Amino acid sequence: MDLIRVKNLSKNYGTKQKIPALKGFDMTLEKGEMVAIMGRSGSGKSTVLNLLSGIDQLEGGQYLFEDTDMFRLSEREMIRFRRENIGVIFQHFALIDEFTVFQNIALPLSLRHIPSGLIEEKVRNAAEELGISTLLRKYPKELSGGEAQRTAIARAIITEPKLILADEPTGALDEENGLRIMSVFARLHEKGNTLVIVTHDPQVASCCQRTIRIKDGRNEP
Amino acid sequence: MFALILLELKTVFSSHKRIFFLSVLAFTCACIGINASMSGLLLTRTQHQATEESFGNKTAYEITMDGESDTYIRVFSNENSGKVKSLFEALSRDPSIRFRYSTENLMDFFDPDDPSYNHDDFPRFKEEFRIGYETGDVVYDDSYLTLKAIYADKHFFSEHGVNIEDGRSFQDTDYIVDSPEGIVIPVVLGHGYKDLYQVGDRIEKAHMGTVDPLTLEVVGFLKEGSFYYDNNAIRVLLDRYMIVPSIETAYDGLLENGTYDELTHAAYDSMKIINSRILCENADREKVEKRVREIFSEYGFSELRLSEESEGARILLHQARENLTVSILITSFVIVLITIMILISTFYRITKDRKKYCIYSLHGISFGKISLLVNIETILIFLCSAILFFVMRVLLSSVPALDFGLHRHSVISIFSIQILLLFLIGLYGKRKIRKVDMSSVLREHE
Repeated sequence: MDLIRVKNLSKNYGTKQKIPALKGFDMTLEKGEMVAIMGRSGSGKSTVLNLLSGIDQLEGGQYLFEDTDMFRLSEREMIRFRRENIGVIFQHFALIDEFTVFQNIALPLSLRHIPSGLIEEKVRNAAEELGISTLLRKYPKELSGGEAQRTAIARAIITEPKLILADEPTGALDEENGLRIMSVFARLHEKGNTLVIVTHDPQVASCCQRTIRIKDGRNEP
Repeated sequence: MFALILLELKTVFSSHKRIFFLSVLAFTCACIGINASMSGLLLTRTQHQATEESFGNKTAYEITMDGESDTYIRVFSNENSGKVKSLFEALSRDPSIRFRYSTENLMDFFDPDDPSYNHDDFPRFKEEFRIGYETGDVVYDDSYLTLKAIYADKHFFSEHGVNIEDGRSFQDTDYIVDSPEGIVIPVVLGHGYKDLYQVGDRIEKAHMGTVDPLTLEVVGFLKEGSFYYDNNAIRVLLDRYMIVPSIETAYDGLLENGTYDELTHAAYDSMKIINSRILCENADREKVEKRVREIFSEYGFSELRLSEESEGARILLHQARENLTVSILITSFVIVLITIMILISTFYRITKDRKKYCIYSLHGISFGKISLLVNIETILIFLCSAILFFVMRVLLSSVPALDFGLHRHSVISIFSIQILLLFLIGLYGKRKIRKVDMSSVLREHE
């Protein structure tokens, strides 16, 4: 069953002079799939991820998430959609420096009416699964790149989102840590999670079920 | 959300508590400034209202007298009562002069030296006294009763907008006493007396500057909260006053020995002349001054002088307005500074912590709630400064020299300004956060 259906997606940047970033991108994603979007720098792969996650405003084309037409959502509905359905992981982790690892992971849950005991239990389970349970009291600046990325993954999966999007998740890591992160993604996939990984690294793409190639804002044949 | 608010507050105290405390002190000063400006505004408004309602757009004169007390005694002696009566009639009947002589004085009811008076005449003595003197600042004993009264001229009710609730006000005939026998003077009582008397009741043994007692008859009651502006432009609340007509006599009070009977003397004493006011249009000043001096000369009152009074009041009002303008300017300047300070602080916070706010947004916090988190420090500053302001007010209230007073207008103004500022910076914060390029910020490498 399709989780995502994207047709002819387009996006321009700039206000005075429009610079096209996507010029008609298509993709479908089934539930439980793990897909890589690959392309060179500036090909538009990160734009796809921004549009899928609702970080960027949709402009042209069609984007269905399950049966929801994403073009019809208001700003408020989009924020709620993102909160309930999407987990995002970035290359440079995007952790909050003033918060501890525990607080960073708990952030998405603290916005829901969940008892603090349950939040603690969920954070500890996620941390244990990712091998960072001893780091919960530390701050992001005290972590290595691999630890910070695993914290970011823990935060992305803590709400059990329907779709996990990762933007160059191993880009800032050494090879050993990169492999560890990919094994985490593989485990998440085995557990039935749906993942889209944006990368330019063929080794990362090879860990996915299939690869969608993008060039100059279009699907590469 | 509550957890995030606590985390934000923790960040405030851990990273810039000095700035926080300075901001609290700055806004407390602003609160004091707002309070001072509001007090000034209300005072000036009252002065303005009093000046306008007392004098209108007109010139007011009072009649003063040169000389020492012996001159005063001579001019207003019993023997001179006929001359004073003539002067009064000339001033009050001259069509080119607006002569006003309503004045406040006391009404005596007991004569402690006269054995024929007793408490049975005033069974409600204490209640009457309680109404007459709200603060009890006049010492009384069981043998003496004095109540506050206004001796009203014929224009008192119409020109001061004093309204009757029950009964009637005075008619022209009420001002005239045409026989010294069986005198009954009508009286309109302030609202405070309403539980003690009814229209038609008589109050015996009143002394309007006379040894022989008079009888007062209640003809009406004033509406609650009635007031008038006296000759010094002071607002006088009439609830605890009795209003009696400032009488004129229509009989010949001259006795065989060349003196006047005591009612004539009481009716034409110094109060009718010295406490009076003469009003005229600003353009008619010279004409009126000339005419009044002619009357003084014509009736042989060379000791009397005409002094302009409204000019002094206008100068005071002008000064009060200037003070208020300065106060408002300083307060506005402080508020503008604080607004700029808060906006810069909001701008700085959003710029510095934009990644954090983008992460909040990424995880589904609305821009409005993020704006609340951005401005939580400002909300806390407002709250702390308001508390500090009220604590200072309570602590300083015991030191009269330092007590800066407080009234509800200040409280309303302070909270209104705080809410307006919060609304503005909330909007500004929301707009600023919305403009942040989330996708770039979340990819930034620090």
